[in-house]
Amino acid sequence: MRVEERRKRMPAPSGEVKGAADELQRFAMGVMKQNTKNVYRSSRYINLSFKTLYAMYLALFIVGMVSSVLAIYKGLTDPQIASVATLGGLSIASFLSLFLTRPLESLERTSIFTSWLTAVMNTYWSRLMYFSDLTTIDRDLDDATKDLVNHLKAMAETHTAALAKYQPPSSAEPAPSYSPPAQDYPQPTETPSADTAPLPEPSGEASENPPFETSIMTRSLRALQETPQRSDSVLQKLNKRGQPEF
Amino acid sequence: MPVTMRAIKMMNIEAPIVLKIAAEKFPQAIVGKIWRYLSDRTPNGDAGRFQTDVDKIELGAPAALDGKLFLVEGVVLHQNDNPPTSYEVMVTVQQGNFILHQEVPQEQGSGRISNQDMTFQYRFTLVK
Repeated sequence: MRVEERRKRMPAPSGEVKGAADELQRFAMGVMKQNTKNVYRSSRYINLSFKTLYAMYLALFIVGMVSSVLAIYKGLTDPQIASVATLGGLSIASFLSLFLTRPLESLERTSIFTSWLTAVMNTYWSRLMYFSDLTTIDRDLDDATKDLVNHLKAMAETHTAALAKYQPPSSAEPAPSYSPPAQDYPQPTETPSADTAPLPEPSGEASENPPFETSIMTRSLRALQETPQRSDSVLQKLNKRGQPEF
Repeated sequence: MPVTMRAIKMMNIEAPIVLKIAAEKFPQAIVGKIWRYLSDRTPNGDAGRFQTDVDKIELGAPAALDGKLFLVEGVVLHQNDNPPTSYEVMVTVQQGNFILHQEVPQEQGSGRISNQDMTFQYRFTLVK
């Protein structure tokens, strides 16, 4: 509405200027249409990637299952060891691949990243849609773009960290459970209060080893859930203690 | 470890001094406060606070900050990382868009973090 009002107040462009303005408007519309197409294309690409990944894991599982059944059947009916060994090897390779690549974790991670990306993009486009104050449009657009880039950067970093942290289980120990026990998610009430929690003293490496999470997504969920309360708690503690000596 | 204080020379322009504190290399949550002192180390109040999503703090105009001392007191919040993850807190002192100084605090400004919050400190003074 405010844009319309401002347009009404602006002097009408004349002749050549109006032609240039119309040309510019057509160009801007073309860019917007192309952007819209890109958004749809990116969305399709993300969905397609997810479905392809899902289908490949499913195919791997089916190959493993079928080859194991065939290996058993061949072992009982066919005296030739070569065919049984081939099918058995195929089955073992498929199942080992499934356990080593942990598809459920990967799919879960992908779905969370997809939701994150959707939320970020929705926020960005919604903000663009509601910008209407021409006096602050530069700053608003700059803010929206910076926020979008920061969100995407954080997402990329988290994704990289997730890949870096991924460690296949060794054969000597069982695969760590992906879903941590309930006590790994302390409720906000369990967060140490500002009165009781001492500020951490500068010290070297962490020494104790309580139950750890094994997944970067668990880390992200914890961060989202707890960080605001813990930040407030630290700030309250600093305020309460007062200004230290320099 | 001896306590160090960095003397940072301001430019001869009117742009305000801005402090940026961020864990740039690896996504870690940080929080903390900036304390201001007079040149004789008398406490002069709180100059601002920072968090992961609010990492820029405007300290004020250069004329008012000449000779003032600042103590950055922050905490890197742990996320129970196993194996421990690295963290590196970068303190950047800017005047407007010009970077005057950039440094990782010597006192616990970098390292590895697992299941304990890590406290870092950084001291500096601004001079004309």
